[in-house]
Amino acid sequence: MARPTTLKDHFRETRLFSSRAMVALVFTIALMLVLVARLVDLQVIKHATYTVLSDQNRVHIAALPPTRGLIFDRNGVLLAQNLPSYSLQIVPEQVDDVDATIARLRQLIAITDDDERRFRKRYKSSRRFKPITLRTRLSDQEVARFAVNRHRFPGVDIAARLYRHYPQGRLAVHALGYVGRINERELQNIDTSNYEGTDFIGKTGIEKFYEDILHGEVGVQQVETNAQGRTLRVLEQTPPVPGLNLHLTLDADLQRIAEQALVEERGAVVAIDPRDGSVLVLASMPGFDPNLFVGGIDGKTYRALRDSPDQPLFNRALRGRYPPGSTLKPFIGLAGLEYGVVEPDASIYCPGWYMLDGDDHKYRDWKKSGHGPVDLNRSMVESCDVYYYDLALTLGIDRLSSFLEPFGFNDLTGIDTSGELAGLVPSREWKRRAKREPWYPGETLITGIGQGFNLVTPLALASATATLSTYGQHLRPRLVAATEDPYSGEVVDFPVVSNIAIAAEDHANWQYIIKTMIESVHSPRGTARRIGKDAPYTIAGKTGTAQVFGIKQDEEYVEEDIEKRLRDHALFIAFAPAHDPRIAVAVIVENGGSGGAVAAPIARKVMDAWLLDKGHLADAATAGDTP
Amino acid sequence: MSVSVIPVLRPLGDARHGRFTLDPWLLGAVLALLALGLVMVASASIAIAERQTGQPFYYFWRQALFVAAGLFAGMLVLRARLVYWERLGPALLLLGLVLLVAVLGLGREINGSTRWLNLGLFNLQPSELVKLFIVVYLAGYLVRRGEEVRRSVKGFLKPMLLVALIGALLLAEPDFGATAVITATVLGMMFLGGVRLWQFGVLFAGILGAAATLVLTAPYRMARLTSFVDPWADPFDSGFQLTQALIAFGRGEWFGVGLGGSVQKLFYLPEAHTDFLFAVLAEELGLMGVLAVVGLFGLLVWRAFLIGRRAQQAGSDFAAYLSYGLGLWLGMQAFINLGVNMGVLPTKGLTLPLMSYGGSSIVVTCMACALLLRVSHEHPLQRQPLARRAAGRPAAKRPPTLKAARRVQA
Repeated sequence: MARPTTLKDHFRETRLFSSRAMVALVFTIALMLVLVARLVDLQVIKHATYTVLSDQNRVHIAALPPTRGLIFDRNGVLLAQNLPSYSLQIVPEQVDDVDATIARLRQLIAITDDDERRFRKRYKSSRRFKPITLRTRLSDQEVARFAVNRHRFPGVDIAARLYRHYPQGRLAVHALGYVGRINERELQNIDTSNYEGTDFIGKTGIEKFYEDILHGEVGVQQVETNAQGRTLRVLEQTPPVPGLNLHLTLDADLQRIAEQALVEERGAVVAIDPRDGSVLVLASMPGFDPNLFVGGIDGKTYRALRDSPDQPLFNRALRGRYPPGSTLKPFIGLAGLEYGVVEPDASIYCPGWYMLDGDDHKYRDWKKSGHGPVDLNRSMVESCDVYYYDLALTLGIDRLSSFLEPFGFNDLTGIDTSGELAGLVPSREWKRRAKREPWYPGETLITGIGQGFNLVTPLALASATATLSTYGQHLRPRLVAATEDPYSGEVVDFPVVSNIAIAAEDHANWQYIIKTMIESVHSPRGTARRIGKDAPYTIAGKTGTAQVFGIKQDEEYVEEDIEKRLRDHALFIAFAPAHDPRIAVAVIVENGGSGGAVAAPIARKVMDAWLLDKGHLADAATAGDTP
Repeated sequence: MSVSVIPVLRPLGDARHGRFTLDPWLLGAVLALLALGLVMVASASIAIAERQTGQPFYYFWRQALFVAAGLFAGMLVLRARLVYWERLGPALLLLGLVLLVAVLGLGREINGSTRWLNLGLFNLQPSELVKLFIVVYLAGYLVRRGEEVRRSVKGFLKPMLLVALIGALLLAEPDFGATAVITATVLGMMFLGGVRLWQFGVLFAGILGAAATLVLTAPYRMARLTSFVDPWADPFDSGFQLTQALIAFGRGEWFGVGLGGSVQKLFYLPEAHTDFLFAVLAEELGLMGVLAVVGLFGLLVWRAFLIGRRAQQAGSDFAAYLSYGLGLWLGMQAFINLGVNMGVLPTKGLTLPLMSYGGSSIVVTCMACALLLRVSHEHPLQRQPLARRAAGRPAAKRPPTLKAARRVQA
């Protein structure tokens, strides 16, 4: 490389270089002096401090785990609490021979192989000076027996811990959820320093959803210990901030009534106060005892729960996706009125079946002989399928699905507990995406009676019913009404949140549909007349049955002939009092058969409890509400 | 200050002299650091090795193997003329970049960072190699484009872009420590290479501005950056290692608790044999031992600068820049590691050169020191007539042929 180098240039270059090298050298020396100064500071000046911190008087930094927030129902009934328990802990570095120590402990205290296995696993992965739990929930006798022999076991001690307890047992387990020991995967997602000393974390339900609020913040204390590691005195401490208590919208009494009504069945009941979206009942049956999971469930019990054909671990209220069946009819009827495609008084003739042009498939009515001439009112009261086949076809799938979506049939309701699944309203676009097939007219027909691809969770169905009862006010269902600071007692109310509002300019159509729903319950021909006869308040309701089992064209559905598991699901939606609703309910009984006979009485029990026993009927405007 | 003799290398040495002239101070410092490092790795890892593998000297024997490999690699480097390094610079840099990209795709993840390539027998940490390669490349660049670097902004910006690229690759692993060391080393070399000062001013202003924006837009970054100042504020999480390291220092006092007497290495202080080796050394050997290590690194850097200056006076700019660059790198990395250990710098994953446990680090730093020794051999410090004559012959005046190169490498 040829570059013009004059002697002068080279000279200047060298000088520049030398001066810069000098700067670099000075800089380096300055840095080294900083290091040396720091070293002298650390090792000579602060030697005494650090020696105290480390050796003769070991200063240990101990976590003070916060107390988890309590959970109450709307009336102050305790649903989740913390009870003290004693556990046996070993600090590995203070134990000479862990195997021998465990063997000797066994003579005093029952230690199962599971306990020991869990201990060994944590023993391998944790630091030697951190206590590791060997046994939890010691009995008083065991605590006493160990206390007497404590001098024989250096490095072994009893720690008082709090564990979660659900005093109501299995009540509302699918809403509350439960806590369990923190696992590896959860460790990745939490602030581990805030969970130092914490054993449990919310695994499902409200316990999981409100984990941050319930948990609180860890405290720290510096303690001085003797050579055996036993605490001598506390030097300094930052107290933990306890988790906030939760006050739920649930009503434990209503919840119990709903669960007892379902005790022989598999199903779900959800009740919502339509005025603010408060969830009064969120029942899924069968349930299980959450206390089993707190200390770590044993394999056999867990497998029994998991493999049970009744699926007690399955949260039907939030995750069960059922065809809505005829409970969708009020919404379809409303769509017909709002789009102006039906005249309420115009009748069609129902022969018991419906056929599409150019197709010989018979779409049947549930009543084989047919309903004869049917107008909108009668179609609802008697739940005539043919009327809705015709209406759905006139509306078309596009209008149908876009009308149903704002009710939340296609979305998560956004309820404040974990694990909710979304329902499904089929549309052309959905079918192209999910099935890669075009939409067929026959599918529009069965959509009109809530069969086919339609799926809804009991929660979403209750929420849609509440929305219907308030002329389109679509509120987000909520389980937590307020938080409460356990120390200061400060209560913070949670706001009512609106989901997408439905623009209902004119209430006339809504009122008409509600009138037909009242007649479904209170008129002698109504499908739910069984619960309307003696009701002291007006109920607007709609029954439904959802097919589980396809029947061939020439066969007949005879309930008694069909195995219980293949029977139709029984559904019922209702709200009351009809003109100023205080409660909206959705009930699903798996393989229950008839909505009117099986599901409706359950809804009635829940509504009775709320309106009569709890007295919420008294403050409702009862104008025009004489049944 | 006399010329040292390594007979083993004689047949391969400079035919004119018949012997190797190596800087004895530098050689002494390097060997002392290696030996001390080996002893400290044995001491610091004894407890964790027994727990993890059942063999107390597991890490010691591996480290001994790494040191042997490092010495062997160093001897190979000693035999090669500097001129080949100058020529190979760009190719080495390219190799380094390829390795950095490869590690992102194929690397092994350990503790959340993807820094190692599994080569069957051992794990290679490309960032260590890249440190060496970039110094070699930049020394050549400053010779070839010295004029451009001094005169134009373009000449200054080009190496900066290269650093930005390497920095981005390293941060993706992530390896903040290596990024910091490489950036600081390159800036130092550019400074010595004569870049105009206002350009540095603009660069630093820009870096400060960017840092300020980052901190202002997200205050937690500031908190994370400064958490090392008060590790007791978060003693469970990020502060844990540092509090334990500080306790180790504090226990050491003047003469330490004695070799093998560290309490902190018994599981209190994680990574005692790698990044926090110095803390264990401080606890066991005290202020005297620590000052000895600082002094040895100081000696190493000083000799590197002296060797560079001699090469410069002899007219070999490449050798000079190389020496300065290597000195800066080793000094900088040692400074950062020591600083982290005693809580004056934020925690970074950086080894202590020549001492910490780690194969790639040991081998590459040995090669770097061997390069420095090679420079001292080609440009001896002595003012003896023979030496001066050799020094007075700039290497650039007689570029060896490729054939000659092959002969030397063979």
